[in-house]
Amino acid sequence: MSLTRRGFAFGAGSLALAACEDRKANATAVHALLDVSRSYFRELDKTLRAIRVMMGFIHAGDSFAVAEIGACSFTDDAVILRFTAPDRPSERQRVIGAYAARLNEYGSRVKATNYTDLRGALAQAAQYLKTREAARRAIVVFSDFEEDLPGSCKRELALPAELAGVEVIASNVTKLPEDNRDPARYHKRLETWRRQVEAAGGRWRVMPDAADVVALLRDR
Amino acid sequence: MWDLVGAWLTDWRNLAILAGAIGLLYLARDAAHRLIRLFFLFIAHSLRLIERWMHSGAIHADARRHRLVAGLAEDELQPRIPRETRAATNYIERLNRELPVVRDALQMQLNELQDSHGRNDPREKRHALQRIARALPATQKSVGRLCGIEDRAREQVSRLGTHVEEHRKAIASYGATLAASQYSGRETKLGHSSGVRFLFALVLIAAVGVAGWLNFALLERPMAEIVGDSYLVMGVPIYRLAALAIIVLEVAVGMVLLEAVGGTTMFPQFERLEHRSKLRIAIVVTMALALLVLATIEAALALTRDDLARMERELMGTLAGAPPSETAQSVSDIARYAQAAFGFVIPFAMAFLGFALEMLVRNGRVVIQAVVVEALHGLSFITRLLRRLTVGAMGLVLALYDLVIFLPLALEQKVRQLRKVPS
Repeated sequence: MSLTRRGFAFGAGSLALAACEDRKANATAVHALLDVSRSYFRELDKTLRAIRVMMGFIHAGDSFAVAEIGACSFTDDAVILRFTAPDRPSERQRVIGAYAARLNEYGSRVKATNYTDLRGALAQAAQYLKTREAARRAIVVFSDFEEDLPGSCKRELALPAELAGVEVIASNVTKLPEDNRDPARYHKRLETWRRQVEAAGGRWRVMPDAADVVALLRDR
Repeated sequence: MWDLVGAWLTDWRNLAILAGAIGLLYLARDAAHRLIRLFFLFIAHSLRLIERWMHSGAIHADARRHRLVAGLAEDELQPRIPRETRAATNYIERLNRELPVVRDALQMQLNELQDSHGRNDPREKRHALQRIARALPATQKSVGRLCGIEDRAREQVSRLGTHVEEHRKAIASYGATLAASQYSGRETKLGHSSGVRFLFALVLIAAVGVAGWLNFALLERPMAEIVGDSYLVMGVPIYRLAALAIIVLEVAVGMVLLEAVGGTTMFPQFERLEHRSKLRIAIVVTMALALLVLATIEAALALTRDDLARMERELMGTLAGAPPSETAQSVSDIARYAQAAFGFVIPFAMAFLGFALEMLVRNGRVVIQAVVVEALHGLSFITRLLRRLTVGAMGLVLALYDLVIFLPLALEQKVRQLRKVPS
């Protein structure tokens, strides 16, 4: 083999290797947070269905996690499921089916809590997403965004720096009876969270319909 | 407008400049005419050169097209002759092989007959004659077979002679067409069969392309199951490349099979197999088996695809909380077997790409050559038109020049007439 040919073969081989890339670099990491406080508990079935449908559009290498927002949620105990999708379609479907069943089982046994530790749940989710290799990271929060911390939980006002680059999507934000009396309270609440998320370096987005968050994974 | 012209003419200085300019133009008339002629004729001559070059190119391209058409016809006729020559040679070799055997047998019987004549013992004579009589039917049979072979050899040689004559006539006829087109420059239209074959090849390629695309759709999902879908090569998922690789493999196997059975003649290496029939048969069998295996694999992959699609549908239904439908299941069963059958048939359909490619390449050259001829003729016409327009423009510019200085020219003419009158 002449030097030119050898060089060409080496170049072509290197090019093929360089051109081969892992899909993980283009993957999406989504962490859904599910509010199980008394004020939001009636939305549980709706949000669980939205989360299940979202799981149906997971691609190979995508990371997906679901955790509940209850009293003191900065804990691994709050995590309902957490997985990275396998690269074989049948295995992926099996895994998704199993986790969907786990979600159903969770829905049947979960009890409403008296508190809502949004800050703790967001910190927990941001920490998980930071460890994921993904091009896009998003936290989907199904909550009324009315934080109510128990006395035993101490939380800083500012959100953690891990939220930088993460898209925080507020979905199916329900209105409280107080909001009905004073609608400005609802907007002010969302606005406060927007400022806090953006101050931490995250991107804030509101998706009123729970079904809209499915598009996050479907349309790409 | 007229007011402006009137105002301009009222100024005597303008009139003086105009008169001076006309005077100067009159004085420079010969030189200016030469310059104008030189300029326009330079362009016209250049255009003429280009036109001639294009016309000559068109004639050469046309001659080349005729050669290609002749080559195509020759390609069709040529394979018959070596085949028939081989058959005739085989008969003659058989004849040469069997003739001495029959001759020896006859000679032996003749010798025995002569010997028996010389013997005095009637018993021995009878025995010898009996032996000859026993051997006679076999000899008769051998002679009959020999005569049959000879008849077939004669027939084969005669057929070969006819085909050689046909071939010679075809070449002579194309040669005559070629010579006529080269020497007379007569426009000849594109060989009808080449254009039709080219179109047919395009249609066939389009059909195979559609089959290939459907094949790709069938293979894509199951290949993701085999190679996974987590890697990309230059932005293309690896399972898609794997599906494409299978399609390319099917096409390659089909092309080699067609070439080996003699359906196409694209690779010269296969022509050498003419005399190695065992190797040729081995290649045909191997490729046919490979095609069969690929078809079976593809049918299996089509079934896998259907299973995956069904699982996905069921999962999505479960996730959304919808119950499974029985009607959908029965429809899915029909589609399942249709997909498997489709997956089995497509590799064989892809094999025909070899025919289409060969036709496209061979006739494409003729068609492209015809297009080149027409394009060169068209360009040549445009160049000729431009040349004529340039010559016309030259005449126009010269006339306009003379129009501007018509007054001094008219005076000059008058003076000349006056000078002529006294003489």
